[in-house]
Amino acid sequence: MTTPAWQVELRGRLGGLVMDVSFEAGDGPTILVGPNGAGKTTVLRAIAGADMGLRGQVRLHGRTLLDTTAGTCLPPEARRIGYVPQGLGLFPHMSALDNVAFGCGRGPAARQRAHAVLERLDALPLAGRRPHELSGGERQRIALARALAIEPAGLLLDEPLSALDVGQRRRTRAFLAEHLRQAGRPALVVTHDLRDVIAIAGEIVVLEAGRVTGRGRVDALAGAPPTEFVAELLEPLA
Amino acid sequence: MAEASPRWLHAAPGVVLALGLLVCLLLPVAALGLASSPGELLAALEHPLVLPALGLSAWTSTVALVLVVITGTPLAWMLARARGPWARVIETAVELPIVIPPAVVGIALLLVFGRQGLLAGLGLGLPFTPAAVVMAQVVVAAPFYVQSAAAGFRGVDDDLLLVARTLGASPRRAVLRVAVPLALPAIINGAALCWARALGEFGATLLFAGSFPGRTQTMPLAIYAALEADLRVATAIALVLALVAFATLLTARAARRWLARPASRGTTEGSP
Repeated sequence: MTTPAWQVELRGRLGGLVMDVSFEAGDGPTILVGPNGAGKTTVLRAIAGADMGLRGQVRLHGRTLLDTTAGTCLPPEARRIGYVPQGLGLFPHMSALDNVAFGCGRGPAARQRAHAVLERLDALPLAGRRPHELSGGERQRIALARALAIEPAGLLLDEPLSALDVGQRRRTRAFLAEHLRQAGRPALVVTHDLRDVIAIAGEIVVLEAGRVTGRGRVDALAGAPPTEFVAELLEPLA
Repeated sequence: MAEASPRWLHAAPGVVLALGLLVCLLLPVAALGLASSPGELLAALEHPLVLPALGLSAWTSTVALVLVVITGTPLAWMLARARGPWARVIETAVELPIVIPPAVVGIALLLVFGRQGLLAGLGLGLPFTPAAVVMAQVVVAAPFYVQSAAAGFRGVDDDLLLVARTLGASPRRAVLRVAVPLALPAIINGAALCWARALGEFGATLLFAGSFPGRTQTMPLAIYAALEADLRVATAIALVLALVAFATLLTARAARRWLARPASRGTTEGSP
């Protein structure tokens, strides 16, 4: 049996939330769903390397990123994880090209690499613009380009489509789903939206009140929803 | 009755009170501006007290500002990021010189660096030297910088720094390339306040550094010294100081406005 791409075990208390999250996930996209305050963003931030004070282990393709019992905790810059937070986290004082080049090292070589990544994502015309001069969908594309520019071992996308209006959301969803499928790279994608779940078509991990309460493919979960939240989320498919 | 009275009657007491304060604030400045003709001003500037004091004030306040920015920026960063009661205790301690009268700061500095002070054994010989002027200015003015810079750093979204780190930036590079540029308006504001406060420093300087012309007599001390001899000279120095302070205020405002234009907004783009 092959080792799964992600092996995640996180425990600890964060404010009022007691986290005890444990799941494994394979290559390609995995979708993290759950009500607000379930700990989805916390899980992503902890995997990215933020010091959340959680104990446990995180492995990606067998490489240990965090193991509190062994005293291992790689800093974010050593994890090779592409992280796109909920607000996208674009640096507002830099052009799109400089945002993407940020992770590519220094000098002209970095800009060349950023250039190539933007070209790959059909975003080259946006290179000179600052984030506030871009539409929501364009910003999303730049944020993804920036995360991909470091050739990450895994991707973390926190509600990547939440800031978009309906039209942009539809186009960007298709682009994102297509990209995640093609890349085959391990990716954890947090979303609230059933249409995202269907388009991305990965395995689903359900997180509620700091625990994993269900997992499986969308049709299996829709057929036998493990919790009320899942039943409600997948109701249109049942 | 009250409902029937016209709107201006409700606003009137507030307007009168506000005008009262405005007059108190602006009248002395206006009087200063009208006190001397340009000719008198130029003549007064040739008084032997003026140029040495001007030079001393310029370099000591600049050195003080540089020292405060170098040491205060990391402190402000740490205060902005630190959680827990100790961080709050240190923050309160840093702000103390704002509320303590400058003369008290002067005495306190003597108790540390004076001939019988805590650090007398080091033989620094600091009191009554130009270095003492700088020291007094640093202690009195630094809190203004640290407070403003810390507020600026607090406004930087945690996620931006985490993203910078995941992109390979060391903690230091993340701060320098992301946090500092985004906090720059607050940093500039703090630097302007700090420099203006250092330039105007009087009480702590007088007690800790004395008022020796050409050595420790800064502009505010020169005003005081000149007042005893020639009111016109005192007025002229005061006017120069007021003009410099006004120019600082305008420059800082212009810099803030330039940095606050949409292209360099310090918030996360696209947050819901």
